[in-house]
Amino acid sequence: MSERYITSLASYISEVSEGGGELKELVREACGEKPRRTSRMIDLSLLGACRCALGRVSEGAGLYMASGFGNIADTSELLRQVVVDEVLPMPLTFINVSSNMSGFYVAQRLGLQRQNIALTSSSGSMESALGMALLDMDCGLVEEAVIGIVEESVYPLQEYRRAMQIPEAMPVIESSSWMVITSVASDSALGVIRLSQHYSDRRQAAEALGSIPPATHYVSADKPPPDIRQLLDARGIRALPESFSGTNASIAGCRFIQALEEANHRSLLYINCEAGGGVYLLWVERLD
Amino acid sequence: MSAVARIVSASLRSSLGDSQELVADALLSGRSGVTSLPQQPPAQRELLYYPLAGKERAGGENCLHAALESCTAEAIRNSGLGQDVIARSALFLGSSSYTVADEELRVQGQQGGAMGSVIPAVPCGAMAQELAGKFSIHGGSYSFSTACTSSANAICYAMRAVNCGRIPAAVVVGIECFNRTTLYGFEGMNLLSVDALRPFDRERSGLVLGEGVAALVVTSDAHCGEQAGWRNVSLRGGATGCDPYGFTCSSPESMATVMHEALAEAQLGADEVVLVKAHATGSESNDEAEAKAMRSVFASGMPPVTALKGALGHTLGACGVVETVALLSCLRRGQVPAAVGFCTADPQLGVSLLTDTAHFSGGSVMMNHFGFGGNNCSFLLEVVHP
Repeated sequence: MSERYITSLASYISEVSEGGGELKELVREACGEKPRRTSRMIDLSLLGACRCALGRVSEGAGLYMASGFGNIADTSELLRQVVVDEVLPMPLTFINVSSNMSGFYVAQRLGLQRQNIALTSSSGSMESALGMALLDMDCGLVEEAVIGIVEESVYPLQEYRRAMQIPEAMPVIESSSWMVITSVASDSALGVIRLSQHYSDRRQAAEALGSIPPATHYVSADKPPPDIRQLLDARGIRALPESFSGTNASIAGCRFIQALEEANHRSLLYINCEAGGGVYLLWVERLD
Repeated sequence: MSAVARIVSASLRSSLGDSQELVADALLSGRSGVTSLPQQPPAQRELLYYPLAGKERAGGENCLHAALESCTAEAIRNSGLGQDVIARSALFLGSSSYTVADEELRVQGQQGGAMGSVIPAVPCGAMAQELAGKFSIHGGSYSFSTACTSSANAICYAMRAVNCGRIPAAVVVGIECFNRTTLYGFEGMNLLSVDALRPFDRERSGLVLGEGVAALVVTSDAHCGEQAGWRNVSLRGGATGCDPYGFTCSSPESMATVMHEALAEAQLGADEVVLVKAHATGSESNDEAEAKAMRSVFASGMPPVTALKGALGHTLGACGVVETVALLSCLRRGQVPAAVGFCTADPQLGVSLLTDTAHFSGGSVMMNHFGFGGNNCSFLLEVVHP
């Protein structure tokens, strides 16, 4: 692949408490105005996107968002209204449940008019969003892409914990992590994407890992399988100290963007090993 | 782009039948798959709907998984591609509601029980991941959630991935199955027609929803072997755009922009388009905006225009793949279906749809799709008449 450059990063990862906190106020600070008639998913998306890209991207940039569960709070509310209460859904809830409504509000705030792609992925939000953005860049359709991964939770949290089987000891996390990438090198670039590749089998992935330098740190949703782990250990590629084991792959993708933003490590690797044997590798080096 | 993406096989389940042959027969004879659902709370009236007609629907209330698997299996089988190619391919899936039908049944089953959670436990993307696993598609799976343009976007990105040589082939699937959440959501917004879906008609009064599952396989000439099912359909180019100012209806200007961009990517002039498949939902404002956009793009001469939702219903996120396969089933016979439900032209629109079956001798066909959230998608098919 051609090298692509990261020009902006912003990540919001927060342990949530009952009631949801002051998200609207944070969004107002980031976006310059308080959103109206928006859902929590939209607010989370606006928060991350505006912190990352407001005033920093051209209107020709593509927008690529991915989420594991999408608008799970609005979906839950609609199911309650239709199946349990047997009433017609509230129009605003029904409109906002469309997964691309977050992209609509983000595009509006950032002034974007090109690709606005919303993807859902149970196992790999990062590769879904980044993959489609890089594809459009490779085809020469966009020079700049705004990429976001967003996960919301549902209140009351006890019910959400039960549904998601999140143990009491583990925090419930919401996240909205974003980056802007370009196909044009510049002195202000924060990092360069050296590798973004989905491998259909582990042997190919293992070969690719051989080109990753030893000082690299990695993020993975689940512990990599033994063969990959052994290779990582042998090359001195270490996991970031924070454990995200047991969380979904979207949260791990958000953590990866956060780690890039923190800039504590020059070389970072995101690994997603699928149950079917496929492996996705994303390797980024900081340039500053 | 270095290659030409070809559609080498397809399969379809719809309200007009569970094969392309049945659907083509029905479309070309002007039939509609619409029926009336019994009144159930919270609806205050009987609602019109286009349910799947085939054996999957007969098998039970939730036909989602059976239809999805059989349709995908048929498209892969008829592609003639070997398992080694399929294993390196990627799956591109588009839907509006994904597994909401499953969630409704789950919640319903738990009513009165100890848990009764309305929180979905399965992520939307699990459908694509499971399907990819079942058919040993290991080159990645992508689930598009862009409302009514979901599977149209899936086609565009599959085309690009094949054209760029990133994958040897793509399996593209569109699926929409009955669920009350979607049906009553549209009813709550007063968007459903009381009596019929009449695309672009002066008497149009709203849309009617339907079920549909369709799959197609896209590959390049390099992998298009002797056994390939079709050799005469290619994807010329496509474009996606967003209108960030109207979340239930895009502006005519943004619709026209995406059509122009699709033509540019296909390296075609508007005068080279021999047929347009309009999105044409039968809603007042969307049809008006779409017609205005078409008048702008085809200012020097409007090609024949047809629409399929009067026959198949609005299959929402699935309509990109469902309508592509349905239309191709007719075009490959050398015929264009008339637009069921269109009778009287609306002078405000200034665009008429075909009222009779027309002859098709090949050429470039524009496929238009517009959705909630200001999402617009247009792509061009090239069909060589066999």
